[in-house]
Amino acid sequence: MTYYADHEHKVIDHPAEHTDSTAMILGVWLLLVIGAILNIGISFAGLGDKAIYIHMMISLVQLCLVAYYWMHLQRSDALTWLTALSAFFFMIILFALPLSDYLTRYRGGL
Amino acid sequence: MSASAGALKHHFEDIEQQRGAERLGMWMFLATEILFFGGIFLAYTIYRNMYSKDFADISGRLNVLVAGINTLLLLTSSLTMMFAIRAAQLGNRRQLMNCLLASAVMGAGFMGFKAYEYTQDYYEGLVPWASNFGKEKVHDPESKSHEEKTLNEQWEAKGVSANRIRLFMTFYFVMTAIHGLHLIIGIGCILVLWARAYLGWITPDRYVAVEVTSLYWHLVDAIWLFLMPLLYLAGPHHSLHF
Repeated sequence: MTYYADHEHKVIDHPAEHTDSTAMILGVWLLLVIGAILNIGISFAGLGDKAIYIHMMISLVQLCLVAYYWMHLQRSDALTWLTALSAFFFMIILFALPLSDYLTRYRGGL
Repeated sequence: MSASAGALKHHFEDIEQQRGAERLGMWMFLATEILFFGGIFLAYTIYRNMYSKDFADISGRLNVLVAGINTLLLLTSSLTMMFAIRAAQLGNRRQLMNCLLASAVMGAGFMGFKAYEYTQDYYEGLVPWASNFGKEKVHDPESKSHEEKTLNEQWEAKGVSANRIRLFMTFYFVMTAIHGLHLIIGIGCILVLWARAYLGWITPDRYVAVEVTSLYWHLVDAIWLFLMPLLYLAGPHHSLHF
């Protein structure tokens, strides 16, 4: 007998059914390590000011991998997605407004 | 392995709703963390755009080998956190404790390398508030000559401003120190989890405690994935060395 509201009758749950596959965990780790090695390798390629764009692209891909697979956005509900995307949305505002001033004040751009 | 939902609190309808609420709570905290770091990243971006030549010059002096090792340590510690969640869900207490301990040790290893780096920076005269800033005689990585000159002399010869270098190094220390502080808090949380696992308090129905901690740990890891290229790879490197 239960004394709490258990409308779905989930008194017995099965945490083992929610496990991530070992292949996914290791696969993401491998991609992240490859990204890190690529990032460091590019700094030796002598690309100058252009290198930062490639560095940030690699870091963004790494962030997406971590958030989607390791932080389980893959199987999260709409509210969690909304929270994660709202952080991203406010980051865009945070960067866009001041940079629209500074990047136009100092010609030459990033 | 199935388990009775003994972890269920009375104000939730079922265990999945409770787990969802716990994850959501952590995600909301992480959203504030992202914006907290966002402000520092923004300030760095503005100054880097203004003083890109000076920032590139000093960034080339930072120890990219140690940064690379630290990146590998953090990524691997996140990997062991993933296996810790899996072990908690499967009720494998021994593996859970080992994975948590491995994550904490790798996090501590990261901080150890950071301490080594900070010490090295001090001896090279790169600590912006130290009295020896720019005064130490060190080898110029861009020069083929073995003659050692003070950093101030090298910067003057290249037309690089010492004050702008000071600004970059302030960003470097502040950003890495705040990140390091987050890492230390993360290590503390993982050790608390380890103690709970040791006492047998993390049963399969309570695995979400490990998952929520891993969310924080992954974010700290993800922030480093941006800090590393922004600070260490802002300029060209010529060799890997300790």
